[in-house]
Amino acid sequence: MSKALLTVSDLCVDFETEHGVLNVLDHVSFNLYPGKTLGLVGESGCGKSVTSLALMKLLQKPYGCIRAGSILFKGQDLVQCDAKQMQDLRGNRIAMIFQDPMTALNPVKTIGSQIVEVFNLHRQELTKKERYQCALEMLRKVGISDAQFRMAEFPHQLSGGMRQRVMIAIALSCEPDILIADEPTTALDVTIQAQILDLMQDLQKENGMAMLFITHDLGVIAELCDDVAVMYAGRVIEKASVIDLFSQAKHPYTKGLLDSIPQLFNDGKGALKTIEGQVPSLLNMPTGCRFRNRCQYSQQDCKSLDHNLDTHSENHQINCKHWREIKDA
Amino acid sequence: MNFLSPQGQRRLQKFKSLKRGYYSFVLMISLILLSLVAELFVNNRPLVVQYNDQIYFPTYGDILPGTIFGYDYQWETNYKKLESDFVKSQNGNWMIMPIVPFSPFENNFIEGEYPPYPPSISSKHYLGTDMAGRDILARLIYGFRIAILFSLLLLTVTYVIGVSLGAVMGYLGGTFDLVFQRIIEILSNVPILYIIMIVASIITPNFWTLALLLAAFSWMGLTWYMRTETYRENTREYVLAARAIGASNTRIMFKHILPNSVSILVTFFPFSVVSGITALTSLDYLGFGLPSPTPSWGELLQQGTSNLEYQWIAASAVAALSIVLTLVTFIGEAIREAFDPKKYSYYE
Repeated sequence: MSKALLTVSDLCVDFETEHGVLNVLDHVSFNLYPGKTLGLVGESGCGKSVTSLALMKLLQKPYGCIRAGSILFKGQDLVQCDAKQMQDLRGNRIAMIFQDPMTALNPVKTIGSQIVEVFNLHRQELTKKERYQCALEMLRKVGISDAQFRMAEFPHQLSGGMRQRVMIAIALSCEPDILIADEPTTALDVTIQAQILDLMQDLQKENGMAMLFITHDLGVIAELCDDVAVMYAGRVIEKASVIDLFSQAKHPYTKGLLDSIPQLFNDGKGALKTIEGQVPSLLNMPTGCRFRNRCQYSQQDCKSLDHNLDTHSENHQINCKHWREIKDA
Repeated sequence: MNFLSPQGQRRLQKFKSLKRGYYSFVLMISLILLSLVAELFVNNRPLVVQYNDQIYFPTYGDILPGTIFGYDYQWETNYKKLESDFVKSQNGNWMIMPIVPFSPFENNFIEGEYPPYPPSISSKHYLGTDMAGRDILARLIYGFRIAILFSLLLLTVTYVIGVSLGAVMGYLGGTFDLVFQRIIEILSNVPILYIIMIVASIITPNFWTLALLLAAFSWMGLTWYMRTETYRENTREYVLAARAIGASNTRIMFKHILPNSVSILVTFFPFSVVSGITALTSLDYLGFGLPSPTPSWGELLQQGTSNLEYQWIAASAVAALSIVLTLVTFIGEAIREAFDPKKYSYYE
């Protein structure tokens, strides 16, 4: 495998709240490779979005802070970077697409001016005219018809799918090395979803950028990603290639997640499978394995599990003491 | 209209389509422009004088002493006397006087009568004169010029301070916000009228000191709105998105959040103009404003209300005040409407 573009190791993020310090991310580690897509999957509140914001250092101070760990990007540790350096990176080398295209565009500025702004920030050597031309080019690239006309329109005049295309155009304007997509298709309907995913894949092929794709939709993961990291309550509990994950998931939580997908061929009879119990509150997280209060295989020694991943194969790691004993259902 | 951005053009289009506001705007701008060259219409100096094959334009520039026209005094020529002498002597000299041939400082006395003189076309006092025999129309026009310039200056200063401080307070929050909130609370509880009375008893306020003094105590109102607006906009996702493309704090504050708050600012715009004019007028009314004999509506109003039997004084001042304030309000209404990206719609 080629050299990693971005290496996140042992990233810990704490949130200071009125109720005390919450350990939101616990030793999260993963790599991003050029031209590859890593899917980050997990249920709501497990820390997916916080991970993406932490990579951009966009956590809101004083509530969220990176307590430990490093984010190495081209030999530079982003955790140590100051505000100015981060501003130069954001939108330029690392770009981000947000979940809701309805709110992520500035309602009082035209589409054109919002794309041009990226060039104003990061491509100051271009003339005004060139910036406009580049923006127009980007808009065409993401498949917006009548781009010239759309440049002068406001976000509220565009449909959701088109707005997400505009967001993608903004994110990809400077041909970033890394694209972080935080549930970019959640707010869209299924046909548009497929179009947007295709578009992102095409653009990735063109640019060779690394992509971190955050979602809770396993279908999207299967469609788009090369590797998957499953998160649960602030920890990465299983990392595998996408084929391994769907064919031979090892962690009880991942298994449960996959079992919860409704199957087409069981006639719609029988109850929908779920994982019993609730995600523990971050305030009183159990020691050791964070999943053990819901896990049917849990044993006494699960209390002593730490964040380290157990290796199954080079590409497949599991954060569980007993994964070997669990038989495939 | 190529210098405007597309959304600017659209707003202009919308603004033009709102007839009442647009015509008020055109009228108001022409009034302001005309008042800036009021010397050409309302003046006791003639526009053109031809005297012994020489042509003079006395409107702007230094005074022309009486010696030029064959009188034996060094002070400014009495052009009314000169005009009647021209008519008498019949030697081809002539002059053109402005429509209202009086300056706002000129006491014009008609022989055998005491001022104030009622409105009359033959005496060319179209709105009559005040208690000191000064032409009311001239004083209204020059007073308007001073009031509107005063108000615009006040508005600029209060907007610059109020908007930037409010934006920073809302954006940074925390201690900075808390400290300035308290400062603003203290400042807004200072009785401005007393302050100005005290200051006026020490120094004679002029145009600039009065404007700065008023500005120092009236920027707070806008700060609250701007602060709240920034707080609200700051949590919106497009701000996060702007951060994600590498925009700096200043840029986010003034290029992303400020344009979103603009409709609040422009809604307050006419009220600020109105409050500037009324502040000056009321101070003048009480006698703590600009020193006499500066032409002023407040002073005219004061004369009018203390001499109600000469109705034309109070009537002119009140009418002028109401017309201007109404025009400004119409304009403000139309601007707000034009800046609103949503079209007016309703449910049946």
